[in-house]
Amino acid sequence: MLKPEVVKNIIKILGKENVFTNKEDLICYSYDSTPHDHLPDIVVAPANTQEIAAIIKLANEHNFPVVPRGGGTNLSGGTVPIQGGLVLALHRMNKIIEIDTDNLTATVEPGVITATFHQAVEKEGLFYPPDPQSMFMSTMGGNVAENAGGPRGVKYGVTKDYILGVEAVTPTGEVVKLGGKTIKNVSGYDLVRLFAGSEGTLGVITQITFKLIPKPEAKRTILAIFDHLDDAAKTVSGIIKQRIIPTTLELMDQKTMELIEGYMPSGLPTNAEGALLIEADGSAIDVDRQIGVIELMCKTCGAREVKVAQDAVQEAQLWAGRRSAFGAMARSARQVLAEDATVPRSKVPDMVKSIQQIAAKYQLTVPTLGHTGDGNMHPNILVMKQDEEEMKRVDAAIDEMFKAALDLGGTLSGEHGIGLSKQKYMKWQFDKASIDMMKAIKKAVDPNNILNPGKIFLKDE
Amino acid sequence: MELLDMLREETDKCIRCGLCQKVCPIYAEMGSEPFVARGKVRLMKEILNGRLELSGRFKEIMDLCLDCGACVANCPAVVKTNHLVLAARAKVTSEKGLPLIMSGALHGFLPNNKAQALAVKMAYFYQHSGLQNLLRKSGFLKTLSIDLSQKEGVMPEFAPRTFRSMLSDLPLKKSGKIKVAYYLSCMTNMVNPDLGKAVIKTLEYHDCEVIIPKDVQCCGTPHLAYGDTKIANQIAEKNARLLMETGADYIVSDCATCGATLKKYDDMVSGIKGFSDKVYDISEFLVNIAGLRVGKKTVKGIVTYHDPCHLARGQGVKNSPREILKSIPGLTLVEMQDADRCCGGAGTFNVMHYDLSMRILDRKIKNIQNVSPDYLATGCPACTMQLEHGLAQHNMTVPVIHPIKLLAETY
Repeated sequence: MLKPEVVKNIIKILGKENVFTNKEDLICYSYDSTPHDHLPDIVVAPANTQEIAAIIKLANEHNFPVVPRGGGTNLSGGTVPIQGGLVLALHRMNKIIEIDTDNLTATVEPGVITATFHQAVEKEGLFYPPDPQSMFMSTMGGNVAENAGGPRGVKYGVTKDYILGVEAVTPTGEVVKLGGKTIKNVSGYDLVRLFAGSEGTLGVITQITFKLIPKPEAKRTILAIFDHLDDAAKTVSGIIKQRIIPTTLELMDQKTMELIEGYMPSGLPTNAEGALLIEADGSAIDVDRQIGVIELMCKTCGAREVKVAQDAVQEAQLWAGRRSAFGAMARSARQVLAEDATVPRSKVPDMVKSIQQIAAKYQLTVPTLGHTGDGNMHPNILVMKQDEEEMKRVDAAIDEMFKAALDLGGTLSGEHGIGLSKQKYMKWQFDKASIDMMKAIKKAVDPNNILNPGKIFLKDE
Repeated sequence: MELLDMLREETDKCIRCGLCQKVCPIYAEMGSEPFVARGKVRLMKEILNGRLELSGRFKEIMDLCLDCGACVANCPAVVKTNHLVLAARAKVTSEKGLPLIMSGALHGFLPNNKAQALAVKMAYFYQHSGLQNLLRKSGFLKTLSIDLSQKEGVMPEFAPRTFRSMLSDLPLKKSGKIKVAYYLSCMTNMVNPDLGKAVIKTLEYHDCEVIIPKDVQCCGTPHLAYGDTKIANQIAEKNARLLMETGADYIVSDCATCGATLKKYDDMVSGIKGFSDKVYDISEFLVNIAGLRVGKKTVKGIVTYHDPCHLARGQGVKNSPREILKSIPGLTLVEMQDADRCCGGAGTFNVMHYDLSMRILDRKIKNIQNVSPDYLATGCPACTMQLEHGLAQHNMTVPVIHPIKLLAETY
């Protein structure tokens, strides 16, 4: 609980209409897209960097936690105020400050919705590739803090590959301006990138400058059906060996297709072990060339059917099943736990097999989707009853999946972050010295442990 | 208890993905979590589990919902947030009661056909005697409150006589291939009797025998919206009985909202199973049941169509009105962007939350401006009022018209 005089001070900084202490408001900022929750003591909606700096100075004086929050659609508990305190709701800071068509950069406030940003830059013939599937709700600040990825990651990388500059309020309330508009910049430490994936623990991002690229002229889509999952996996490496990197390379397993067809039939076979949805982009001529090679490679590797979209309508049809996958899962379970263990892409078939074995061992339904091109797997654990017995099996299965991913040379998280969900696995991936280095950075910039405490690391580590 | 379990089950379905943020018109303006489905569902869950008390803030949050159904249509788990919000309002109303003016309107005025007739006369007098002009020009309303003067602008143009009072002078055909009961909506009755005439003309052109039970009342939507379930159910029972007694094969409504609620009567009244299956929106009926017949006269120009929430999502009717518009000789249908996005009217929402409603409306008007049509067609009187208000504020003279009125002009 915050002392009344602290609340009074907060109101003085932000105005009464931007400070919320009703239980109803606190409840609405107690959760994200995971099952974690904890009530904050207060929710505030600042309008600018100065207000945030003032709030954080106050937090250091009176020692209360501050948790920055965008759309609240993150998948690892990152914005859950697990130790209470103050939630900084950043929706009022939602301006696109500039799209610089000479330097191909854009500067935005943290509350800009990702899809709104996409639309704005594409209007200028430019392209910002990261496309987290929550892009219609997620914010640019949140995307940086979680280092969001998306299906296009295989060709275009993730959020961190597009950040050129950051303005942020440090955990002690100072304002730092890092990086800028230049592609090349080696002055001092690269602290700009440090904010990517910092999960709101190292600073409140108040302004970001992104690199943009020209919008590809054309794109086309292929759907390939495989009787054997192994053949689908072989196709992935086959395509890459041809020196072609598709824009997206999505794998759906049999269970996923069964669920989709049961919910919104879109012509996917339920008797095939897997399907690949592949998109290529570039100049019109080059896209046709890429699609030709990809089609041939699918057939060579044993695809039983290959569909190439000839126009936008057909393209939408091919994507329809993939797009409804999440809905199909959500409708068939009480809870969907979306994991994102990631392995080197050559290990995708092994990882898929491991997931299937683990699912069978713990009698769980785990339809698996994957951004296969970059090894980013999404086993989605369907929780049916949510009782103690089932949750025990679920927890054990998740443990084993992470172990499997790490054994294959992978990582705990490709794009969702550690947050609360994966804290206990950190020591599986990192040795003590590595974790100590991360914690030393946190301690150096946040001596009072104000910003998003209780995340990423376990207390006793 | 059964209802509670059902509601609890509904709140449990939410997986907190936040997809509702993408489509909620209120959230698009407010940007904060209490004002999106995910937040409201969570609050209901806390109430149902006894961890939260009913409060002023709770009511305020639940009141800010348009019941447009966009969140439900977009929800992977199909959480019926609109039902949860109505249930929340019902709980507030049953425990805290309604403000006097509301209970007066809901209990006295709306279900009372005589009171409606009197009100129409008074409103017509106000609008046509010069009193309205006088008050508007004098700025007198602004001296009372700026808010009141703005809200007065949303008020529709009333007709000189109610449609109900004209019925005895209207000769209806006594035979036809299909027997249709035409449900007389409050707005057709008070504001738009011409629509009633167009509906009769169109139905008879389709070889229907039209029966109009004069004593039907308001459909009960406003009561449901304000949480007055008891009165709503009483009204539903009476209306269902009157409509069934006609012996008609089909029941037709020209109001998107009335139609949506009539289709819910089966769940509101016991012992009338099968009633709702007979209910059709007029455009849906013409296209899917009667077989659309178009006359030879032309209506020249470009038309764009606004989907009423209670028709597009409330009843799943999106194609029929468009088919009707496309079939009219001389008329070209040009789609606007986000045609099925709520206009912010939502019954009395525009009066209760004027500024917010206008922000939602502005987005709609921009999309209409981009088409710059000769006609704006829509099948909902609440949308019509709201759109007319928005167009007038932007100095646009596009007439807002029911698709059936355009169709009737071809005969």
